[in-house]
Amino acid sequence: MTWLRRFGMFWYDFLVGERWELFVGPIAALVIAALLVGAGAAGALVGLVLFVSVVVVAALSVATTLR
Amino acid sequence: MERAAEGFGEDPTSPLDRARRGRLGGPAELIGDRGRDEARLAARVDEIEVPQVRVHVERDPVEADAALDPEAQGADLPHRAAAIAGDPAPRIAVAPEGLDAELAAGLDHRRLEGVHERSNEEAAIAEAEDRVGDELARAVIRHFAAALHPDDLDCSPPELARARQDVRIVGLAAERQDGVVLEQQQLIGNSAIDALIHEPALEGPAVTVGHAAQPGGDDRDRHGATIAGAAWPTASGTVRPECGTVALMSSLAIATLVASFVASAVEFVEAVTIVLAVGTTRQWRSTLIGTGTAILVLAVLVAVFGTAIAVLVPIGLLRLIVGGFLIIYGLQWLTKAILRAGGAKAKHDEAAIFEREITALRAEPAVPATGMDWISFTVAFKGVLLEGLEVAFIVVTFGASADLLGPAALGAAAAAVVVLAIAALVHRPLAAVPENAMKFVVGVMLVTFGTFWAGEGVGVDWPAEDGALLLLLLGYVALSLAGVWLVRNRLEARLAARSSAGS
Repeated sequence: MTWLRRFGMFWYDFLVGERWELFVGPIAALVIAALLVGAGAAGALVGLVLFVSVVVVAALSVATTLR
Repeated sequence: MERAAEGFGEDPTSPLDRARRGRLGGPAELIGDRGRDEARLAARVDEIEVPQVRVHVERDPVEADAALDPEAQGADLPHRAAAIAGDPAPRIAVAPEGLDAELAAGLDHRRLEGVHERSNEEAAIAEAEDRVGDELARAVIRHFAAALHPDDLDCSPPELARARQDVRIVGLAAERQDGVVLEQQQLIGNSAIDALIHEPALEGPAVTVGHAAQPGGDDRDRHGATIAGAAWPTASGTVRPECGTVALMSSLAIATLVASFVASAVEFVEAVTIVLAVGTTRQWRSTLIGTGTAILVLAVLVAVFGTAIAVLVPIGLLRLIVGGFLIIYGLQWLTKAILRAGGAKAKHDEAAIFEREITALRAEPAVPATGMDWISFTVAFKGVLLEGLEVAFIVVTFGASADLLGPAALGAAAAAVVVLAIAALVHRPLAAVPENAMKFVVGVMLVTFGTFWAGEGVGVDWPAEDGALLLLLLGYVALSLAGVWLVRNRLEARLAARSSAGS
């Protein structure tokens, strides 16, 4: 059980790391993009929304660290 | 009764007919009887003249090397002296030296007709056009012929602009865009203009025309789609040119190689610091064995997971998952690099890490006099494996998403060689390596590719296709630099506020 827990902790650190918002934020951005695509939005618009969402996630993470 | 002449120039009073054959004196009496001797001789075959407009004697299809000519289907048309320089290539098409073989042959072809010599038992064949005794091989399914030169790439410039990156490297020289094979007349080695002089050559041995190779079955449709710029679906979702294609490294492959090299170099620098600390403090032999074992494990992981992921996971889902992880992973690198470049976070100090590792290792039990030092092995193995896992992750994700496992692995291997060689030369931690700048670059590249692939995974139809990668890259670089500037200004403003408050 300890080994399994360590294994899980290793992958949590590997993928999520110190900043959980950097894990949740991109997933949320992709969900929004998928919804826009499903709604029939133009490719350029969805791509722009995805790009801006990633930038906003990064900016929020940096701002949180600086605070 | 006087018999009328049957043909132009025939003497009705002569005992010989137009073909200089003897005949009976009587007129034609039967239907189909032209008054020749054969129809009246009971011992001979009462043959029927068979009108035949055109006869091509076809042989069984054979497999032969594809023509090494970019325009094999029109080999008799271009004005050129020597069309073929390929060797070895049996049964290749030979372009005539004449300026217009078809025209010249059309004017003179009656003169090229040979005398009809036949036995009495053969059926007479009246050929409307038989200037050349054709013997054509039909098209057979073969691999694509190799383009002779990158300039011979099949795609026209407008198609190249719209084509996907992985399509641009495919050269299909001998196959044209129409995908239709037209059987050709036999091509004659000497000039048709000189046919009167070299007439015997026209009756020479048949020469097989090498038709352009054709992909079989669905491949033909795939090829058409590829030329048109759409993706050629394979197990991993991209074009897999078979033999004979021009293997030019695409810009996407170069970008993958560079990203893998830089990311791997950063991680290998950190791994080398650990290895140097263990080796200099304890035992080099066990340390190197541990390092080699870790590299072997990583190579197996990359080969197994990289191949399995590419084969088993559908390309759309794969790009969504991998793209998402690349965004997450890239943002972790990029935000740290921005904070370090802006002065908000301490930079990675390999010298300090080296000293810390040495202090920890000296606290361990002494090195055994003989045999393996398992502490050295374990520390080196763990350090290299953990640092290398990040490299393996990048290589696998890049390789699987873009079907570029080779360039990604090559970049990582090259980074390992370079870093290890430098470490062996200087024999101390590579503190001078600009790790933060490298992580900044890698972070931007990971986020760029991650955004692109994840977007494709959710169904985004990127404008400008792969050109969107460049736009994303420029956007992320510009905003990241702006982020560094903002962080630095924020810290300076904060320090200024503190100093003014203190004074």
